[in-house]
Amino acid sequence: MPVQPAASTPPEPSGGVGADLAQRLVALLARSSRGDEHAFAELYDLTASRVHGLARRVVRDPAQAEEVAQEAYLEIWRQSARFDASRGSALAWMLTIVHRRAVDRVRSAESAQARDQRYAAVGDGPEYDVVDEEVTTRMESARVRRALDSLTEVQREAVTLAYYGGYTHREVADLLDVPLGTVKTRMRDGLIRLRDALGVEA
Amino acid sequence: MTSGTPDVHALSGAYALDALTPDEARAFEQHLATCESCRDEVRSLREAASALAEPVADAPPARLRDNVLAGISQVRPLPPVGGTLADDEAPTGITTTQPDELAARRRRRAPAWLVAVAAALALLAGGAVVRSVQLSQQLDSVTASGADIAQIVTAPDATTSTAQVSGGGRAAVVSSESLGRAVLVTDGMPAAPAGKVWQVWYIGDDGAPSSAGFVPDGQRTAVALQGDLGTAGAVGVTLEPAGGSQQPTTKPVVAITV
Ligand SMILES: [Zn+2]
Repeated sequence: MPVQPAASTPPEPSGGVGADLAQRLVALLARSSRGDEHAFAELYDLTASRVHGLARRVVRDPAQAEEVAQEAYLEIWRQSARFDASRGSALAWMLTIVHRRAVDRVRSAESAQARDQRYAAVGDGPEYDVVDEEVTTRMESARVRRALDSLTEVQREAVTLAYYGGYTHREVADLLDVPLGTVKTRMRDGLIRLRDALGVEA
Repeated sequence: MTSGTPDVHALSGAYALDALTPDEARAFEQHLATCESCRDEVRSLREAASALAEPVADAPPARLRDNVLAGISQVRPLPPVGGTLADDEAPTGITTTQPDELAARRRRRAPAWLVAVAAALALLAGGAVVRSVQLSQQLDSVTASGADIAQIVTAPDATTSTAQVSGGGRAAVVSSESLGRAVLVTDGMPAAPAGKVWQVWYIGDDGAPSSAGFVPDGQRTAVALQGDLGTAGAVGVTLEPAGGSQQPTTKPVVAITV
C-alpha cells in the first residue's frame, strides 16, 4: 500500500456546504490531477462516508455498493483534471459521479420484480437508518433532514424516490400513478425548496 | 428562458436527480449548452441533491480505502479536456533520463498498462468483465501497444458487449465507432490446443468475415483488433491452424454483436 491512513479514524468534515471543506476538496482534486496519491488519500478520507453511504443507499447490496464506490473513486481520480469549479462544488461533482454509477447499476441489473421490492423498501421516504458516530456529520445530517421536512409530502416523495431509489421520472410517475408533467414539477419544485432551505447559493 | 419549450426547462429537477433516461439526459444537455438559466439552475439543484448524501453517510470498511488507493496507483489521471492519451508515454516529471533508467521505467510501466486498460474496462462494463482492480492486475497478456487499447476503451463513444464463450470463459468487445477500432477482452477462455490458435474475425453485416488478429495466450487477455471496425456487426473467434486462416474453417466459439 503506497499511502498510509492519516489516522486510525478518518476525519469526517463538518458538512457538505462548509467553505473550508469545499476549498480543501478543490485543492486536493487539483493535486490529484497531477498524480498526487497522498492528496487523493486525503480526499478519500474526507468523503468516503458520504460516497459509500450514498452508493449503499441506492444499490443496497453491501458488496455491490463497495464496487460502485471503488469504481466511482477510480473515475474521480481519472477525471480529476476535468473538474471545473465554476460549474459547482467539488463534493457535488464527486457525488454526481457516485450517484450516476449507483443508478446505472440498479437500472441495468434489475428485474421488474426486484424493482418492485426496491420500491417497497424505499417507501415514501429515506430511512435514516445509518449510524454515524461523527457528531459534526450528524449535525449536518440533521440540517438536511430539516430541509427535507420543508418539502411538501408529494415533493419529498418524488425527490427521494429518484435520488435514493434510483427511479427515472417516468418510473416515479408510474409508481405514484400521476402524470409525468406533475412528477417533473414536483422534482424541480422540491429541489428548489430544498436548495433554499439549505441556503445553497442559487 | 428565451428559447425552447417551457417543457424543456422543467426537466432541470429530474436531470439534477439523475432521473432522466440516457437519451433524455443527452437531449437536455444539448439544451443546457444553449440555456444559461437552466445551467445556473441545474448547478444549484445539484448542490441541493448532493446534500441528500449527508443523512445516509456510512463509513465504509477499511478495505475499500486499500482497494481504492491500490487502484489509483496503477492508473494515471487523464489530461485536462483537450489533451490526448497519446502523451501517455511522455516522461512524467523527469526530463532527462539515462537509457538504462528509461528501459527500467518502461519495464516497470508495462504492467500498469494492463491495469489501466482493465480499469477502464471495469468502468465501462460496470464490472461485468473485469470486476475489480485486483482482478485486473492479473491480466496476463496484452498485445499491440497499451496506448492503443487505452485510447479505444476510453473513447467517449466506447461501448461494451459481452458474451459467454462456448467451451468456457467470457469475452467482451469494447468498440469505438468514431475511432473505427475495437478491443477484445477474454477471461477464462481455454488455451488453444497445440498447433492451433484462436483467430478473431470481424463479421460484416453481410456475414463476410475478415481476420482481425489472434487471442493472446493467457487466462485474461486484451488485444486491440487489427483492421477497421467499419460496418462489422459482430466479432467472432474460431479455432484455426497455427498462423491463422484466410477464412474461418471451424464454427465460432463466440460471436459478439457490436
Ligand atoms: Zn432552459
